Amino acid sequence: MSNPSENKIIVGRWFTDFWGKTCNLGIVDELAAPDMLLQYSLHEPRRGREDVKAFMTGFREAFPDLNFWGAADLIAEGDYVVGRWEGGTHTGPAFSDFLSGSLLAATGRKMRFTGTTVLKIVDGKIVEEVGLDDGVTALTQLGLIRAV
Amino acid sequence: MSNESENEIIAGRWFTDFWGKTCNLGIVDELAAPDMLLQYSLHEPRRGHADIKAFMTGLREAFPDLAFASTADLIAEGDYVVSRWEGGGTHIGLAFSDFLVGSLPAATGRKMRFTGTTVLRIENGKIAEDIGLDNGATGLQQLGQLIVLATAKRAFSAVSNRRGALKGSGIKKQEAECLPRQPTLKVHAALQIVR
Repeated sequence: MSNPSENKIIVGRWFTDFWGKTCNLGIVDELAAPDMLLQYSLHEPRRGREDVKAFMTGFREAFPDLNFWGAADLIAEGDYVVGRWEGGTHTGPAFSDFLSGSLLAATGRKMRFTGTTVLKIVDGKIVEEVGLDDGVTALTQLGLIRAV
Repeated sequence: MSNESENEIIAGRWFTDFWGKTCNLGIVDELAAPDMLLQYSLHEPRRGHADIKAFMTGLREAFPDLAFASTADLIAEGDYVVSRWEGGGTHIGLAFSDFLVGSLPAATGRKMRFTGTTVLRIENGKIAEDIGLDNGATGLQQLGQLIVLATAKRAFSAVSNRRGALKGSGIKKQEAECLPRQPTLKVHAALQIVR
């Protein structure tokens, strides 16, 4: 029997400990289903606790100040919770490794974007996290894509 | 009937008549709030009946076979209805300049197809907001509108090879616990931008 109120609490903890300013990967062992699917438009899909942890480890290694937060109330019905969020990163040490000095503005290159994530929760475990975002904005900010 | 059930019916009719295979713009007069906001990541935000009708008219002139359809049950709570969808169209019509990232000349013949998530806010039986996100980058690539810089691949290799440089960078201890103990992690997996 799905419980939207409980599911919102689970998602709140997930967003804080997985996506927030500080990362506690123990939350994956606690809240992720063993074969959890994590899928975001800019990334390859990841499946299972180890893969999901590796995803976040790599992401935060590239962007050590990565931080995302809720931008609106969660929407929950049945097994699903929808979160609307924003966040990103300021230029971290990773950027200065590959952006040439002449391209790098004084303030550095920030990545800041918004998104919507749909999570499916079954028996208190997150089985799916599927997110979309205005990734074109993010990639343009990073100077990694440009319009033709 | 609950508020959510009524809202799901409104959402269903909106998706069919505004975004579906055939378009009936009368649905805007019927279901849109007077100052309704329509906002999708690849486009400028549009507001109000005339603006929203103009948006869809222009889009369908460029992509005459435009069609989007639900891929899963709607999710409804309170004033909100969330739809997950997919669709697209073929650019066989007029030149199109409504993308934030540039313009298409006429009739490129290219197909775009992508998925998305939309959040509708419905108040007193009228749609106040239709805000969507999508795999727009995929769509634009299909249309040939994006160039993904090859530096991305080199960049992420450089980062993973220089993991040692992160020491002394000021990363907090809690964040450091998320870093791998082995220095062989491939950072390019974190941002697979280059396909």
